[in-house]
Amino acid sequence: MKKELAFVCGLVLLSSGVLLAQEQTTTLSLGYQWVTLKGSEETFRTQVDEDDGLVLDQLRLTLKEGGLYDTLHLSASGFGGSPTGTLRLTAGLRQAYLLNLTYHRGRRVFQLLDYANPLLAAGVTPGQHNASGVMDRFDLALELFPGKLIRPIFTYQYLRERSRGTTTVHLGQDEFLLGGTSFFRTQEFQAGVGLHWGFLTATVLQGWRNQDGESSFALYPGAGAGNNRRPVLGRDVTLSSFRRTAKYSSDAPYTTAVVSARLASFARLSGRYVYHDPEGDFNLAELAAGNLVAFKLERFFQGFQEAALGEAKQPNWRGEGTLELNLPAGFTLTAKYGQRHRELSGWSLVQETYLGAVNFSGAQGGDITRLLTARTGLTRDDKEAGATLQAPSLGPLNLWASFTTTQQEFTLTPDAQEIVVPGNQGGYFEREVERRAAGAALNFGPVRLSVDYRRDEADRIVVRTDVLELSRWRARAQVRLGILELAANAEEFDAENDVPSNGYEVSGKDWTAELRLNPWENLSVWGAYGEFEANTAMVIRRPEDFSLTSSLYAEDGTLKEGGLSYKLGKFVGEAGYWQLENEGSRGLSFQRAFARLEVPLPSGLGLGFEAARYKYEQASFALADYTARRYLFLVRYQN
Amino acid sequence: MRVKLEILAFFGCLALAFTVNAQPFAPCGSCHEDLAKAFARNVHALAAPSVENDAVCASCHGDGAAHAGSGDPALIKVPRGAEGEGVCLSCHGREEGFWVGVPGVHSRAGLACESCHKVHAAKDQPLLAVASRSLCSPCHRREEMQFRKPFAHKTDRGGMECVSCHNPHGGKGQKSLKETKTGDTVCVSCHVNLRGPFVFEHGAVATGDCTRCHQPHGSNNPKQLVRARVDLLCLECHSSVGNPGVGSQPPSFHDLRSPRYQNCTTCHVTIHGSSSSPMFLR
Repeated sequence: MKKELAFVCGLVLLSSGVLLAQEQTTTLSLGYQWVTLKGSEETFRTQVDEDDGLVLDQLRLTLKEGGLYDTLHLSASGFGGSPTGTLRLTAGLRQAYLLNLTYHRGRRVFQLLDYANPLLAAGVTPGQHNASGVMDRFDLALELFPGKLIRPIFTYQYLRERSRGTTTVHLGQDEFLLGGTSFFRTQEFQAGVGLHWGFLTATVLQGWRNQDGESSFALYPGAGAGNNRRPVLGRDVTLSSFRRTAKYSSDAPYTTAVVSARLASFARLSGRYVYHDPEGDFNLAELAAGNLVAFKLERFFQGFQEAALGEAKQPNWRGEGTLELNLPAGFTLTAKYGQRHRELSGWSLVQETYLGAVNFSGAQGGDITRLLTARTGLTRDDKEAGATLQAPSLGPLNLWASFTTTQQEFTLTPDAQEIVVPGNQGGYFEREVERRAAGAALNFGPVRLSVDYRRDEADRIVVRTDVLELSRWRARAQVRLGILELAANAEEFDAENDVPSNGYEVSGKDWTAELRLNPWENLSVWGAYGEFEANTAMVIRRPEDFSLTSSLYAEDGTLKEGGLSYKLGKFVGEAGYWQLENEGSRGLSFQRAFARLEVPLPSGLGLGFEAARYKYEQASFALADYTARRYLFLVRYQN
Repeated sequence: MRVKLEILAFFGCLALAFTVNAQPFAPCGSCHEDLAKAFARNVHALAAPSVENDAVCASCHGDGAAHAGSGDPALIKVPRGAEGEGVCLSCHGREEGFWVGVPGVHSRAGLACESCHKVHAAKDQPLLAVASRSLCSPCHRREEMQFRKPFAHKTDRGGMECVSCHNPHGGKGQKSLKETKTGDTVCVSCHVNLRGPFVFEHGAVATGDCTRCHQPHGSNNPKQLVRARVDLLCLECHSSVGNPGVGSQPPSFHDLRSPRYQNCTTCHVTIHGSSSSPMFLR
């Protein structure tokens, strides 16, 4: 939090310094917010995660002709008490350079009480998979000599993710809660040229990406009894210590080429090719001590050591070409062909040592070491060909139709270790999907309507959740009549895979409509209502008794929204409310209300206040409910 | 000598002042002063050889001699609709992601560049007619509703925007989705630890994409999953009921009546992929 505060303050000071020096337009809105909470903090952190602290509501800065630039735009918002923050800088000097820089920070919290929690019935919360982390992402793109024949291009990305949390380890016929940290970092650099020469435009870029990560976990204090509190074969299974360290690194060179050529006034050909060759290394070390049992060894044991090494390679490429033709009578035809190839091969070497093993009759067995090797392989090829025909505009009416066929081919080579029950794990599988789609759009004065239909048909399935048939309708409408604006969306889809053993059916429909009234230029009042529904069913076998049953999932909900906005000069008054309710498989209600007021003061200054309320209720688990309120006081400067 | 220097300095300053006060965009700028001044900060100006003459105006508005002579607004081209799209794409059509003539979803629906962009009085970057956060929702109310669900990507202050994942100009991929520079799904541009390569990759990843298990905009279920219960989601593939494609993959053998087994990822912690455990246990 201190670092974030320093970052926000630094940003404001930097902008203030620049403000004094340059001709500019500015909006700076900075405040401090407080959050009060009743109920589950864990659910609130997972879903909303607003916090006490300084918040950059908005920063917009435009400078011109500063020597090193003709134009410079800086915008930023969030950070501090906000769970996310983004800063963007665009600067350019005429025919010299164009620079884009983005920094994004996001907190990621997952701390649900009832998710992955086998001990919920015993009142132990939260669940066992929790994480609280921060992601920082920095992107830079620099293009030299914009508009010239040859444009050198450079990009750089740095992404870092740090988190702290809990997970579990399955060891000795039980699961144990672990606590620890993980760190992941990516650096990516790309350099190349863009070329614009007459009818030909091309961009060729060479990139390099390096990723590395490390995680370290140990037995969580007090978690030595494990999730299974009952004795196994008359003995309590406990863990007294556990430590795991895992490291990962990968390197990936890649090449991208994009070419576009106008062959004639009515024809253009474009192509794109990407080759990517990532290779990753992994190693893991684990050390544990306790009273444990292993059914697969038919032994009790007192400790466990594991060392694992792995390497994976995933060379892949994709290429696609597009031909665009402007046909007689105003028709436009686009034909496209693309192919993608992806391989994965890997090996893993694992050495497991069970320390102080004793067989079930009590005879000493000493240490038992198992050496496991595994190799996997996968090849996937996708070939896609398609065409879209767009009819000439018939007055306000636009019509289009398209056809696409996709061929998928998989070759799976699993290791023997992966096979629990023999049957089709490895081998060659193929699938072809044909997609037909058509649509119409009407733009007639204040009325804008569009409707489209899509139908997919596949010749077979590869995995159980593939579908054989899918159909979808979609419609949108917008009407602007005087002070009234109406916008509506609707969608309905059905998909199925009627293979007898699967019986997979998915259907859903939803619609939503918004009515907005603008009785005066400064006032806007609006309300929206929507409904959504989804149903899925699939045959599954319950593992405990091998009976066949159906996996059912349903959503049946509504969304109600309303609000008003009044803006007069630099005076702003806004208020809004929305409520989402779902009565499906996971019944819940989620509401949010907010109000905002900005009052101008002399010399471009202003004061603002924002209040928001978040309320969440979960039908079957009241412990997850919360009500939170957020109050934000703002100071604004605008010129 | 001193007088000569002063005279020289006087005329020098006069020449400098004349140069500084010289009207750029003459004669366009002489009438459209505000537009001309603002255009110097416009990103389009960066590619222009010079903003000091009318050629830059003429590149979009055509020859304005007749208009300048008479002042008649009807005599100057203001590109709008399909004509405007043609003007924009005469330059932007050269770039990847702006495919001239290829009907992306927005183009097919009859939307032109001006539906979202405003060249001279933009409210947001890149030359957007309204702030980027409120640009898409008037048409995409349905997607707006999905982001209201309790488990969703954060889109409030400083959060994600539609263009974080989608390319509104169409082009590559379904649903106008962006891809990473290496052609991977846009999800791994932030969720980089799931990019791999892993020795053991989950079949759902190898044969499909992230949406087999996750709802990208928002969900009623934790982890933006497509099902409320993790065990039922997993059993839809991991059931031994026979499948003409990939087999049992393997089936689950656990007693789901025990809370220990009702959330598969309690043990199968590295469910997206692992380099040491074929069962995704580590």
